[in-house]
Amino acid sequence: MKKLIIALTGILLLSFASCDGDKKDVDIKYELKVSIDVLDVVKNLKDLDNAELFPNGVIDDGSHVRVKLFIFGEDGSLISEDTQIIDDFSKKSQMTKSMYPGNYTLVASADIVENDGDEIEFQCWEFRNTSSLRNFRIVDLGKRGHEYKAIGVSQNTVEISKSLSTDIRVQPLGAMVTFYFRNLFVSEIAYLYYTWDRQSDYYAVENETTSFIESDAEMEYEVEAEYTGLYDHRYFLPIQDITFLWGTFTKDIDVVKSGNAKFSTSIGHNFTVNVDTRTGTTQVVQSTRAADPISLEDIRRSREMLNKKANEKE
Amino acid sequence: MKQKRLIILTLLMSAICLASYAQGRRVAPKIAKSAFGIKAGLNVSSISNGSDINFSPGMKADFMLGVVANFHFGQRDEGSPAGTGWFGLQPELLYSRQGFAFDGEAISFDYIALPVMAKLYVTKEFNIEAGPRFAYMLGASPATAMIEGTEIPISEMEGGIDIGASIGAEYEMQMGLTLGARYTIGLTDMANNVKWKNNVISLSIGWLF
Repeated sequence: MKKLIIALTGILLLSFASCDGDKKDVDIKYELKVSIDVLDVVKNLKDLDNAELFPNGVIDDGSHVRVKLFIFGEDGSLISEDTQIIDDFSKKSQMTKSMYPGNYTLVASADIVENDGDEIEFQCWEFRNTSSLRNFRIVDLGKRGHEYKAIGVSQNTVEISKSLSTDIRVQPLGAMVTFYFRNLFVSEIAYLYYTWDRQSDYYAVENETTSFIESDAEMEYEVEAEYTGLYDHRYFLPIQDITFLWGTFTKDIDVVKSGNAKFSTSIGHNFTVNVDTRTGTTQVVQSTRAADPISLEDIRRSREMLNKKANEKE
Repeated sequence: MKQKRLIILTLLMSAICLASYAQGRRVAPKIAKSAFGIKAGLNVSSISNGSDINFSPGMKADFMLGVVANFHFGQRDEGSPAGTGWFGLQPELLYSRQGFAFDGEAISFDYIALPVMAKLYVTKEFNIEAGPRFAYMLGASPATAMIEGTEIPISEMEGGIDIGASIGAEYEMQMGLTLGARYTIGLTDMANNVKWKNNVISLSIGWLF
């Protein structure tokens, strides 16, 4: 027994002596805590009275905010993603991931959805090709979402060499465009149509650019011809050279007046497209309000005109 | 490099003991007593944390058991029997469960350890001891541990060599019963990127046949 112990001891001593003193690395993962603030996405969305479309970020019709976080590795491949549905834009999302040391690109987004639990029932935007940052697209599904189409995206890079907490403020990706018609003198106008030349686009995340994927000049919007004021508002991604077209017609579809305007949208800046159906002028201003309030005199004359038309019909 | 120094130190200690043995030989031809035995005991362990992960590891209680070979050299004086001298050497082969506690969870490391203790017998029965301890990690649990936001794959440390230094004291009764206390401090990190070193206090009871 003694000999056995001595022999074993000798063998183990020799084994230890032959061991290389260098230790290996183990694959440690560090905690990445991401706090995502989405209030900026809708902070500047205002109506013509300069009132916030989502006051303090609150959505009051039961829709929710979908917050998504995508984490890409140095080669641009998707490492991890997470989605949280929160009540409104005033809430913050907290997401925690375990990550190996390295450099990562974090893409966070916020948009409005209707959902039943985790099941999305209505969305204006779809996330495609998310497995690679290079091909990652946020695509407009072409729905008329108005201010509910608001979307924000932010990209950040982090280096993880130990546990890390990071704050992301998701920034708005587009802007509201309001279509405002001064349509006071409507004696012979039966129909009013308007359209713009493109209605669907996408946002390429890696390059932080928008590009068109579709043109659609067929979608015309017929509106109440005897109405003056705000006809529509739409959320646009940053787009160059949108062509806006409108026309007024008689009941025999003869053109009374028409006009057009080119404009471009940029992130965070809202625009108003002002149309005067009497003069045919079309003006685009970067503003949170219509160009000029309608005067009481304008309204009086408009009412007189409408009354006159009503009398003629009788 | 550190490991090589320790091996040299061990050999040096052994040489001292053997020198004592040789010196004893000049006094009397029969000068050493050897015995083998068993021992078991309590480990109270923790780690010293030199990593970037800022936390305070707690103590953990576990056990160890194994076999020993005891060589007691020389004679205390000319009239004394062999194996009563001042010096001795005791290699041991132990299974040692140790580790640390954090946040109510026990992190366990299973080692097969080889301490080689040089002994200075203050009396014929009581000795103080010191020597290197070589250990091989057989297993670790849990597989991963989440410590202050860092997920550490504990199981990936398996197969690592731990080199430490031990000091202690032992009482060897004539009947064969031994009682010992020992402190072992780890000198090597558990992994290149996990700067943890073992600390173990062992209380043992054994029997030398």
